[in-house]
Amino acid sequence: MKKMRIYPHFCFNIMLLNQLTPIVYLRIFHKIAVSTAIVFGFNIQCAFAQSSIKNPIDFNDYKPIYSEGELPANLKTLSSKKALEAMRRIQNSGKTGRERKTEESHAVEVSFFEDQILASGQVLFGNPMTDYVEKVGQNLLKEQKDLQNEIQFYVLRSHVPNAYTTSNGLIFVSVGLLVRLENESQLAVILAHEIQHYVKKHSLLQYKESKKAMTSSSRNSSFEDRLRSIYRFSKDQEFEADDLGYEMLKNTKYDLNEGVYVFEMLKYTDYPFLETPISIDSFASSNYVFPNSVRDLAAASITSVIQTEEKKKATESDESESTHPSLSQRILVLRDRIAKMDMTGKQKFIVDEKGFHFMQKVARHELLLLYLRRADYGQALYLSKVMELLYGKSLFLSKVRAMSIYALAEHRFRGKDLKDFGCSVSDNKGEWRNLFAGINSLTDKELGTLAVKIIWEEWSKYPTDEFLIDARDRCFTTLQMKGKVLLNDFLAFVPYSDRNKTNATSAVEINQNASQVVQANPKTGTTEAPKEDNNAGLLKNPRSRSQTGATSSTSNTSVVSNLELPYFYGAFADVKNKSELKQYFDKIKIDFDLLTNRSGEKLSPSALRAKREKLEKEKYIKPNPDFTGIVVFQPQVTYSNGLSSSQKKKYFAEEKFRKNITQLWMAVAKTSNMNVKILENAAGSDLSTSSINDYAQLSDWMMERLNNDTIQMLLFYSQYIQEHMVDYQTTLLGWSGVDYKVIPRDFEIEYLIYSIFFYPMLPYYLYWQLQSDNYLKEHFVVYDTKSSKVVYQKTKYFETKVTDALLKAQIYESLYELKHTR
Amino acid sequence: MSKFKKNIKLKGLNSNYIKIVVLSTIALFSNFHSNQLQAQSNPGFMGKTKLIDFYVLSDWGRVVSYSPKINLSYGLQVEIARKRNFGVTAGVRTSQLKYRATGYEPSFSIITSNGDYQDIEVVDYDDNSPENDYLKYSANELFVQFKQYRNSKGSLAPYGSYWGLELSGVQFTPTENRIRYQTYDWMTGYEIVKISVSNNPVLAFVPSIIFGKRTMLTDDVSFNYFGSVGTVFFHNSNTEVYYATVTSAKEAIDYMMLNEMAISRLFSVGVSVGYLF
Repeated sequence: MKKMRIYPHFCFNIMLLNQLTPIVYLRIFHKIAVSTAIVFGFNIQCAFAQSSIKNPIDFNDYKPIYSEGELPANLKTLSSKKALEAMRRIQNSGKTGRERKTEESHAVEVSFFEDQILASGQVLFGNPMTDYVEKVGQNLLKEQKDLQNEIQFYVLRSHVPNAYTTSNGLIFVSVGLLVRLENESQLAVILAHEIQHYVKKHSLLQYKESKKAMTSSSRNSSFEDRLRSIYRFSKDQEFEADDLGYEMLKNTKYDLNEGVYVFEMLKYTDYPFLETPISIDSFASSNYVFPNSVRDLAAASITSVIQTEEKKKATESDESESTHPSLSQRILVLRDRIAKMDMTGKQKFIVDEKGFHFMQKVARHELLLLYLRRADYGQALYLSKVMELLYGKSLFLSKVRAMSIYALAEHRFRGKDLKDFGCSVSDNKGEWRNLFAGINSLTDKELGTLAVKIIWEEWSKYPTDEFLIDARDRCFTTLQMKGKVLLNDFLAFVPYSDRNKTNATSAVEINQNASQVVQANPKTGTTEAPKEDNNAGLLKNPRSRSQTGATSSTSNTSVVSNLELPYFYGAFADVKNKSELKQYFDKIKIDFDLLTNRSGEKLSPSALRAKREKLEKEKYIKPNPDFTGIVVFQPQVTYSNGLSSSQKKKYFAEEKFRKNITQLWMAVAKTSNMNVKILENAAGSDLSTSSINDYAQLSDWMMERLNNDTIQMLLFYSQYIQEHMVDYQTTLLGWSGVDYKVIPRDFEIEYLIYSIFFYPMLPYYLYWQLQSDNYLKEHFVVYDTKSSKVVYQKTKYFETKVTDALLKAQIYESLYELKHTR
Repeated sequence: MSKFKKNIKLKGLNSNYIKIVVLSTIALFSNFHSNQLQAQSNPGFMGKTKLIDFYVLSDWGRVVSYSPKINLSYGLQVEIARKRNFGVTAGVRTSQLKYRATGYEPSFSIITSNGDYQDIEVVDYDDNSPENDYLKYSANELFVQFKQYRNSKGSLAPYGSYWGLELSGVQFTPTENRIRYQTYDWMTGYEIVKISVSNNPVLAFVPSIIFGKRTMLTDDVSFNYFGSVGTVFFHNSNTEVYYATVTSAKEAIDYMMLNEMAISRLFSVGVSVGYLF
């Protein structure tokens, strides 16, 4: 089972009291995906392409990019207005009865949903990636002027390789897809396919056929899940879109052969976009060599997963039952068509080749950030190595690597299963699997040591970088506190070369193996694992596996160790500047004696209880002088009239409610004279690109925090939001949500009969019967962006009708308590 | 059936009320006790912890007994929210009341020292008749209320739905007395004379259980509607009085006033409009 991830924009359900975060876990299934890879040279002159970009991008210290330029015109109008307009159009079209009703409800749902996606900050417009996709898309539509105006192209900030079309002509291409494309033709094939879905109104047709698809996952799911559920097409529709898409491309110079590769890549979505043999041995050095026991464990876990997969394959049902057409079938159809076509003069690039590679470089950097945001640290660690081979060393990649390994160690020390942090052996395939199996087979101490070693190496490359310094310090502290590792033991480790003759046999053997490790890949400068494969160190497209067959890169290096200290104490034996290391160890060293013999006042249980009660009583009496204000995401509101999953969302009421509650927040902030900044992201005349970007930047941090469900740890996005928080003069970031259900009472025949018998009760019965049951759930959680701690958390549940006064009272109470929390 | 017998009935009811009041008080205060252990968060609505209320209370007890008459009291109260769901209220209210009879039996009998009896009669057959008897009196109350706002309903004192205990001290003062004696003598037969009793006030203790809801009209102005169930306790040396016998005319008048309240306070509803500050 895939791990669950959190998207606070579209979800919130049950916030568990006494839990740290108001987490709603969401599943992201990688069912539908498009993947491809690059097999040609990568030293592309991206620098030249940069000159055409509005804001030059510094790839060395890459920062997440957001939308630029003008806000999409759709977002300037309220969603309800658009929905009403669409309904009016349907009414004027002369349709009647059930058909009209279905179309109307489809129009309403789509109008609101599209705005939610566009304003979520997860859709990019006006940046290099979107500009490029738009260029290719508009080029495809140059003959059809009417479609040019109707269709808009966007890039979706998602690691899942996919593309979506909405019924109002919005086409989303995910970052995960862009990184896997090889050329412009492949993008054109995908866009042509999506355009045909729009032209043929597949979404509406599918909606009419099975309305369930729209509502089944309308709540508690990420926008990707919802996109997928709303815009899921039938086999016939997919074939039709394929067919018409090829027809569209026939008249262009795009090479349709690329379409075949696009489909082929669908099979490799569980693989990295480019592969190179990387295992834990890649991080070994002459005095830091993993023993055979670790390798055996890793190999055993891989073998068991492969066996399970084979068993599953044998029992898997026929693909014809699947809702999506078989890839092989689609390939066959396309091949058939190509065979009948004249392919002379067809090109892979038409619009802008340099722009494509620049766009892809940006997308790949973004993908790393998306993985970090998802807390998929295993993938990020692996891809940082791949990116280094692709684009050379950079501060950004060093930071990503340091963050990934630090987080993995931190989570392991906290007893978490690393498969939830991007290190699942069963969910990931190819070269990913080797690295993840290796990481999983390390013990806490071993992984912690590997982490400090990697971070030390990365920090040594950029010794002045604050983030790396922070990661290094935190990782060493955790290793000592949680791993109970004494730093001096690292210094006490005698390098193998210095050992006396009594250990000669083993030392020689170790040295031989170790040197093999180091020399395996002198070309790239990285410490690659020894490989029999001649292509070791080169990047390969996972698609090439279909020709060569899967390879296992588990190293067979045998290490016999009979040393007093475990092998991992050799992590720093190869560090050249020993004095610097010693100096640092002295500085960061934790005195365990002092910790254990700490002389503090020892209170009796009753005295402790009294003290706790006293503290509780005094808790909210004095305001916290450090409280300067808070930044809050515009409250998320769900408004529905049912309890089950088939409940009907009240879109118009929801929009009104959200607007109202935002105003109430502002009113309470004004009344209570507090510095409260609301980050708005609802469609309307007040919305601007900068407000969406602010929302996106801070929600990225929030997502990363929620995905790292620990008490306190370093977060990668912290470095990007500090500037914002300085502007807002606070470090507190809050998320609030309201879930309101108005459920009409069921008709109770018994009550009616009783009330007829006791007729004075009849008016009361009628009043009771006509009332609705109201359920209001309110959540508010506040994080300190500096320490990533939860500083305040509240969940309240009321069975009462919501009023402005009630909401105001609750908002005020939250702010009051927050202000008085220390 | 004499009114006095009704009073006896009430006495019986009172013993049950005592139990209810005592149990409710224990329940209420045990709840407050646990609240005191909780951290004190922001009392008050939007930081405003005090309010002053203009107050109208209507007693409906007599509607459900035998005399369809509603008494109205007016007053002012000040409420202070002490904790997030606990408010203390203090206030005054006053009402002008009139004791009227609807029956024809004498209300009370005094056994005189020589063994004779004298009825104290209240006649009220016709509203316009100058022969009518009545007793006009005022009831001035001083009360405190301890309210627990129901936090599960999103309440924050002094806003939202609540329940609580009201302890009220009432001073009854006759203002106009047109009650008559009816004496019987074998020589002269029935003789009716006006009685003249001192207007000394009488005190009573009225505990009630209150329940209500305060909503906000604006950020400063609130509207409150509530109900209460209560009873009247008062001191009287002749607690053993029975068979409609009292020791003096003064005592009979006292009973008339207290009885009225005892019945009407069985069930009351009221509204108030308040200003938060």
